[in-house]
Amino acid sequence: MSWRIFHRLGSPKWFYEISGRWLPWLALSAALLIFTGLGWGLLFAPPDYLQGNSYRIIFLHVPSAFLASAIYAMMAIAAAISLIWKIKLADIALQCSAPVGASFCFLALVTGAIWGKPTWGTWWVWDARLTSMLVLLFLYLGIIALRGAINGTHAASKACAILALVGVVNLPIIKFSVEWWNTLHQGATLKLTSKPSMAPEMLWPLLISIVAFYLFFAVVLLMRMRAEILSRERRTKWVQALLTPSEKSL
Amino acid sequence: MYFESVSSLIDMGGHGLYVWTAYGIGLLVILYNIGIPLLRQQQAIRSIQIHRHRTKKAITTSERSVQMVRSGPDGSRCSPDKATDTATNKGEVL
Repeated sequence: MSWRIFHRLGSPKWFYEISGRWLPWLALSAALLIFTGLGWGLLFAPPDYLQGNSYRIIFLHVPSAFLASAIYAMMAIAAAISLIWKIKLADIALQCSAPVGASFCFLALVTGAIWGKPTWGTWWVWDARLTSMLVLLFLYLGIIALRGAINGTHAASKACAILALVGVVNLPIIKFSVEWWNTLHQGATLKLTSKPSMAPEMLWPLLISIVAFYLFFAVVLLMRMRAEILSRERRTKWVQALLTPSEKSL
Repeated sequence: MYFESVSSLIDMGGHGLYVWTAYGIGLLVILYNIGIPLLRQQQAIRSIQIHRHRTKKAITTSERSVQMVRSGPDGSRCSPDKATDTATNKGEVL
C-alpha cells in the first residue's frame, strides 16, 4: 500500500492535478504572511537599542538565509530519491528548486552585505559564515550550469543529483561556522534548545517572515514544476487531453 | 506604526538607504521568482498548441493528398481504388 502511494506521488499527472488544487490556497497564505511579516518588521517593530533601524534587514536576511539552506537540503533528498528510485518527479523538483535556491542565497548574501556596512563598517569579509554561504551560491549555480551543459535529461539528471549530494557537506559548515570559528557574523538568534534572545515584538515578525518565505518557496516551486511537467510531458495523452476542453483553464 | 512621519520612515534614523535598498532587492527577487514560472507555463502551453496545430495541418494535408491520388489531380485519371469503386457502383446501378 505504502509503495503504491509512493509511486502515485511520483506520477507527474497526479502531481499536476493535485498541485493545481493546492496552489491558490498556498499562494494566498504566502502573500498574507509575507505582507504581515515584512510589514510588521519594517513599519511596526521597535528599533534595536544597539543597531537602530538597520536591524530591520533581519526580517529579509534571516528568512532568505534559512530558505537557501533548506532548499539545498530538500534538493539533496530529491537527488537521492531520483538516483535510487528513478522517480521523474524528484528530478523535476531538483531542477526547479535550484534557481529559486540560488536567488534566495543571493538575497541572503546581498542583504547581509548591506546590513554589514552600517553595522560592521564593511560590505564583505572572508569570514567562515559568509564564505560558506558564498560556496552555497556557487553550488546552486554549478547545478544550474551542469543541467544546461548536458544534453539529454537522463544524463543531466544523474550528474546534477550527484553534485547536489556531494554539496551537502557544505550545510553543516554553514550552520556551525559561527561556533567552530571566531567569526564576525553573530551567533544564531533563534535556537530550538533555548529561549529566544529577541524581544517578542521583534521575534514574532521574524517568525512570521520565516514561515512566509517557506510558503512562498512551496508556491513558486509548484509553479515551476507544473510548467516543467507540461513541457516534458507535452507528447503524452493526458497533457493533450488537458489542453483540449478549454485551453484557458490551465 | 513605529514611525511618526513619512520622512522619518524614509530616513530610518540615517539607515534608510540601507534598509530600503535591501527591501527593494528583496522585492525584485520575489517578483523574479513569480514571473519566471508564469512565463515558462505560457511557453509550454504555446509550444503544445503550435505542435498540435502543425500535426493537425500535417494530417489534413496528408488526407488531402490521399484524396488527390484517389480522384486524380485533374479528375481525368482514376486510381485503381477509384476505378474499382466506380465499377462496383456501376455494377450496383446496373
